[in-house]
Amino acid sequence: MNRIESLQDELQKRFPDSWFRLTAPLRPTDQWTLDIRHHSRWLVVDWTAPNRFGVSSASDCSAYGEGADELYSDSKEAMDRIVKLLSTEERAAPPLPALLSRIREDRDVTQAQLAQKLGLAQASVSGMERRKDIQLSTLQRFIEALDGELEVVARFQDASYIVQTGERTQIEKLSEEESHETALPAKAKQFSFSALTRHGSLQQCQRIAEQTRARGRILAVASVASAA
Amino acid sequence: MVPWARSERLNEFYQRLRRRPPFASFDEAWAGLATELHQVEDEFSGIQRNPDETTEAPPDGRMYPPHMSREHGDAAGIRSFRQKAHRTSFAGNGAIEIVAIQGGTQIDKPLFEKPGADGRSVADYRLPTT
Repeated sequence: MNRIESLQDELQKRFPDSWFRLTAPLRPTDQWTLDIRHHSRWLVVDWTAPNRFGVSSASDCSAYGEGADELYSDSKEAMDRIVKLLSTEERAAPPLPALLSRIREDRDVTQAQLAQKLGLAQASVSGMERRKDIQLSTLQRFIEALDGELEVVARFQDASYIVQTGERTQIEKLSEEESHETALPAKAKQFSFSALTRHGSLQQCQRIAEQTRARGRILAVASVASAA
Repeated sequence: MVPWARSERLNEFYQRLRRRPPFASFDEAWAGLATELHQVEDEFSGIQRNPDETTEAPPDGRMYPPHMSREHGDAAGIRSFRQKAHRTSFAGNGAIEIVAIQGGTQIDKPLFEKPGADGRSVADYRLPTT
């Protein structure tokens, strides 16, 4: 049994009501694909030997030939992430360049319209969407220009903290109930991604994670109210 | 140049591929698809082509043709390649078919179909032979 078959086996035990389909490549050393349906959620997991896992949430058909949303080189990490995606409302998160353009397109805003709102040249917005890293303040302006609100959350195993963005950084500890991801507005479309920046208040957040030596994960969550 | 949305680029890619003369073999069809997709992305995506795409589609927001490592079994005379949300199939006569996939199965009718040089489509290759 190879790694993706073992992973499917383990997932089937944990989610006996879910639906699985494993597609083998022509050559066993090429890419395998595992499709999973769990309630209303679809996940696509691909695997290439020896240890490269791609994890993607089901996407629409408005694009073609895109890579996996998230990549893992450790089967346990991939397994943990898949279990979390199947157990919560969270979606796999594409890297920053793909993410920002997806959010903008999802809000039906062109780069030119966004540039006008930000008082920038369209090329600057294009540049924002092509960066591999972004300042927290720039990200905040981007989201707010789309009429959204940026929230930065530091998550730990036993607690979560919202970092208020703005001129003065504040850190607010969430209650256990609030920390749970499903506590976010049900109608909100959520896009999350791992640490983006080395600047501004997110850096302070990272410092806190390092100081506590907890196994923390810094997330920035752009919560954009869904259209009525 | 103002980059286009993914859906606009995808439509442009389909239109350009449809306008090409029919392909006569798998190699011609795959090369034609890859050429048109790269040209559309070069012109309208605003995202540079990543050299790593020779091994895997990088998650950079740009669209890439299916890599050979994604080939899986299909009916006789058809070579099929699975990507995240699509399956692209090529028949030996140069026909192309792109379908949306969810949960490992095809959703609705094909998103794109182009018959090969002899007029047969990929679907024709899947018909049972008597």
